[in-house]
Amino acid sequence: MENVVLLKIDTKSKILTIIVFLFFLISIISIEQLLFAFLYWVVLLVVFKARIRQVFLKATPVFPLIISLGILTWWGKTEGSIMTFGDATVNYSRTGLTLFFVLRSMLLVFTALLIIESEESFFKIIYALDDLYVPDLIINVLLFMYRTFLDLKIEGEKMLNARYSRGSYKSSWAKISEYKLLGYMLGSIFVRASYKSHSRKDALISRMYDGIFRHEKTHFTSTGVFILWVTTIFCLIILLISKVRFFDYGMLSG
Amino acid sequence: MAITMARTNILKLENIWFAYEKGKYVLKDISLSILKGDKIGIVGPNGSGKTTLIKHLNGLLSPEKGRIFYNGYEVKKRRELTRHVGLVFQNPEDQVFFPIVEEDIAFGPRNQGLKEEEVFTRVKEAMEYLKITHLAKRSFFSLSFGEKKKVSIAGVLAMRPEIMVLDEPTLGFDPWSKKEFLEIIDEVSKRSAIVITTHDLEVLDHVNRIIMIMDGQIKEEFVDKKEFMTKVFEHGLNEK
Ligand SMILES: Nc1ncnc2c1ncn2[C@@H]1O[C@H](COP(=O)(O)OP(=O)(O)OP(=O)(O)O)[C@@H](O)[C@H]1O
Ligand SMILES: [Mg+2]
Repeated sequence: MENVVLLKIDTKSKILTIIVFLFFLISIISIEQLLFAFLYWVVLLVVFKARIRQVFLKATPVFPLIISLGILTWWGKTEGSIMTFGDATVNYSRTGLTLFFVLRSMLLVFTALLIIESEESFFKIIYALDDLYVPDLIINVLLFMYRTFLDLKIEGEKMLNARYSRGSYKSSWAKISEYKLLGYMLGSIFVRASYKSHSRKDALISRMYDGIFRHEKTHFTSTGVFILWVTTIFCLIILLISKVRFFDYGMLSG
Repeated sequence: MAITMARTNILKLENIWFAYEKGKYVLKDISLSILKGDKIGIVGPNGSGKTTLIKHLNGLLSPEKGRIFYNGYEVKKRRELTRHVGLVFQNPEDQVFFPIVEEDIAFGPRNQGLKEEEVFTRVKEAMEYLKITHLAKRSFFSLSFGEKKKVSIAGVLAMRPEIMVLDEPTLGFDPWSKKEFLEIIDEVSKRSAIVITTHDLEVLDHVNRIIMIMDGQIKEEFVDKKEFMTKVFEHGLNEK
């Protein structure tokens, strides 16, 4: 049994690992680095036991944003753009740069989602952030934002159930009335959720919440710290050897 | 029965008036004392102001006119009351904040500033009382209504308030759960005063005062269910 506890990666280490990895992703400049980053991301996915399907599903709302970023990059850049990090420089074609930005943004999003998907409750992440000395104000904002989202989700599910139970699920989404209904539903979800948050205030007061979020302390586990170190060293190595060319750039550079 | 011990007066409301909208009084001149060891049942039709009244007991609402005393001292800041009076909401979904059952029950005790071991004991005890230990790790939202209700009661029980106020606690309970719940109330009443609003006549067997509210006023007080039943149902209220 003790092994199980030892092998567990604690939330604080996970968060720090993800932060290190995000900084690394922002700093990388070449496609090879991106390839290594992707491979390491897969390792993290496995180690954190995140569910890949959920990660992809949660990422979908951000895809339009990433596509727009790609289009903007393509229109905004001229041939032969240069990216530098330290001594390393990479010369890109317009398409190459667009591809690089889009892929990297995707990886950024997927990485951020790793932490959310690898914990069973978002509150665990908030506990860990609190123990990492994130200011109370931010903790409270996160706490209530998450709770409101949860309310929205629950209210939405309730409304859908109410709708299905009246047998109206066979209607076609091509009809304009459907969109009116959708708008109405969205509106009432917000109204209901805001009513909820009003009574929530009462509930919090009567249970003596005073703005300080008390919880069980979270602790670093040795496995967690180990993963954090490995990640940091991996990121540093990849950044430091970035002057070395793995492939010929003929394909990408102009 | 000649000697009756004078019981200490914990909470006292004096001529309370309250309106949600200006001029439309929901509570009209309510005076009420809660004594140590009291088990009060508050009855009355829908919309008569029961929930509004008990929200005054723990300081969620403050009266427009009237005064509230706690242990003989006038309460100036209504939030002081939350420390001593625990309120179980009519609708459990309004009360519960954390998605995991165990976490939510621990929320109150933690806010009271208790040490983590003490929090743990209180949570365990409250869950054992209500027989919901098997739900500890469950998500609150996936529970049945009766189970949700029990979780919301456990959350207040764990805070060990001096006065425990419950708004319609037996709503949604099956007959067995109700019987168990009433036993719990008898047990808890040894250390806390109890105030219950209810439409459930069975609950009235377990209280020692019955207060009837109609249209925002205390219509009458009965000493037990028998008196209440004879007066209300045999003679009818309007004949008096
Ligand atoms: N937030 C509010 N704003 C305006 N009016 C309110 C509000 N809450 C309650 N009321 C009104 O005050 C009156 C008393 O309501 P209250 O909830 O106290 O009744 P109740 O006795 O608890 O009824 P029930 O038995 O249905 O629970 C009702 O007429 C209700 O419509
Ligand atoms: Mg009510």
